Amino acid sequence: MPSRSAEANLAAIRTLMERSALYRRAVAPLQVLAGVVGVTGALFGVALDMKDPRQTVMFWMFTGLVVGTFALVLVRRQALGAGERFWTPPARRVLQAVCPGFAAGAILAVPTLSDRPMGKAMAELVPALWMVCYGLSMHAAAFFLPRGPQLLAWLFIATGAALGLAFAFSWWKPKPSDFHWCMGTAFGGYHLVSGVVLRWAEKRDPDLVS
Amino acid sequence: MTSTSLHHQLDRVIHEKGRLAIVSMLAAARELSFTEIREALGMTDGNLITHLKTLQYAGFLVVSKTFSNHRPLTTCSLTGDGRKAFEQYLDHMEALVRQHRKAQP
Repeated sequence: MPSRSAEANLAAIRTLMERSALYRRAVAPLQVLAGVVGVTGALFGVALDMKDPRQTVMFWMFTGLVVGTFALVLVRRQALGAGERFWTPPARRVLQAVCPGFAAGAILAVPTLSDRPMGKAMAELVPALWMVCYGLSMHAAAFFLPRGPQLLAWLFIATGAALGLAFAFSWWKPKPSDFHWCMGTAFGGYHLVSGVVLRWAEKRDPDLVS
Repeated sequence: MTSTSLHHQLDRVIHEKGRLAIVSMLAAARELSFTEIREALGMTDGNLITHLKTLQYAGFLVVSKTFSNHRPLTTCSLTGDGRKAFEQYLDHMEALVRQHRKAQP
């Protein structure tokens, strides 16, 4: 067998192995869903005019739970529609990749629910912490997605870090409604824009999802 | 070892293009459904069934049939022998490439 043919075989094997390890469900609808819920949540949060930051943290934890539940339903529907299994090895890999960041975000929010003054102060930092944790999760999961949303992940990390620094150096004194605006802009706006762009790219190049 | 003798050592079951693609995918994903393989490789049902049977007879593949949401679900995974044969195949390919590079001035 000529060496060139062996090299071509090895390259084809590598491509196939990479492709089969990727999570192939469409990610754009998930991002649009997260975006719509995020923006709606922010508008709702501002309208409710919550004064206690702990209430705000709980409100957004609940919103995250709503997004997670709808996302599972959406992915399951996609799998059923394609006649495929829901719980595939790539799906497991994506979940394993996002879990540490999600867990860190949830654990860091727990002290904010306490009555101590430190809890209240920390609650104002939660959007920044969540953005960084979420960005890190998304970056880890991007290795198992056809066209990894690394840019979006870095945008979350940068926004979170900038907010955190602005808060730490007292350049920014957040008002109660700022929590909602921050969450709405990042988790709502970023996802919505990214989802629409990705959907458009998928339509132009269907190989992105297959 | 010459390039010709290396070539003779290649496993014929795996060396075929379609079967090599199936084995490569299963080596990375552990378990894949019939539909997933068919769509990823753009094979017809008949073609894929033939390749799967050949791999099954060689003891390289296990096919299991279950139900998912009241629909029959056929999944395939590599056996230990199949994984070993695939690794040997990769070793042979790499040896061929190395040999050729050494031979080049």
